[in-house]
Amino acid sequence: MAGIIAIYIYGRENSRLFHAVNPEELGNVCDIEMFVFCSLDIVDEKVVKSNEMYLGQLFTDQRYKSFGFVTNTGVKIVLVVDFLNSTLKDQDVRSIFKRFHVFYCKTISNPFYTIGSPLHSRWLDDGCKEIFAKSE
Amino acid sequence: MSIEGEKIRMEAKEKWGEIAEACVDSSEVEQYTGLIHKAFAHANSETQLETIGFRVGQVLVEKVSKDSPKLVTELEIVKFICKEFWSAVFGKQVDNLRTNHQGVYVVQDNKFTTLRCFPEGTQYVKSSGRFLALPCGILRGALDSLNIPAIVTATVESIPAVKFQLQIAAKA
Repeated sequence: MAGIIAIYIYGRENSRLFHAVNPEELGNVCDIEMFVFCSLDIVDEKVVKSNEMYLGQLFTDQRYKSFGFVTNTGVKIVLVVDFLNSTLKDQDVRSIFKRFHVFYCKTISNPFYTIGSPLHSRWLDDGCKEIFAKSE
Repeated sequence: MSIEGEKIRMEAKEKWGEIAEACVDSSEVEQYTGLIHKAFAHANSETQLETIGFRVGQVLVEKVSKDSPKLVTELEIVKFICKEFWSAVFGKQVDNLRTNHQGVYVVQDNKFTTLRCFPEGTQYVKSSGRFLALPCGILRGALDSLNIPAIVTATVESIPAVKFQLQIAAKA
């Protein structure tokens, strides 16, 4: 069963801070990225209307669907999931976003990190490994 | 630092350069303390502390705002800074918040953390400035992270009460 395909983190000005793609899907990175860019446009639309940080489902096509999350500081997290996946509940998606927000906080707390540059941290790497492993 | 501030600094630096050439006696230098402060404002302790505070504020606000509801309007954000953020960072809420509804907010804290253990009264008001550079930076960093670029200045009339003025830059 296929599940979570990729997770992307973008800064306030849509600069990419972090990306991780499920190792099984590495052949389709181009398609996934195209899909994420489409989703980002919808984030901008939804962020005005939404009254919480979780934005719900953003966009679907025949292969993927995406979920969005925007923090108070304007950091955007986009989660790409397989279109056929129906085991992933809204609650699970929320908890993934919450977790990754915590990882983001931990990563920027590193004094050697300059805010706005790409993120590298063990928390994020382990978190990705965990969600990708779950989805097998 | 803003471009205008930088211009003032460069002018002061040039002027100081000329004066320094002509100076012979060290007692003459004392007259120009104000000018020297202006010329080297980019490297003095206040500026550096403010810069450190800015970075700290950016991280702290991310942590504090993690569980708060979504903040939309400017007033909501300033209220958040005065309540949740203030109690998380400085240990208590602010005592007074005033605004002119044109982008200037005055936040008053009658018992500010860093000045709480200082002797009360007006005796050390002048030297308390550099102790407030870091909190100013923290506030500026927090506001900037929440997408509100602002200028934050602190004024002390009598220790330990501090008034912070948040001057919010007009949105482009």
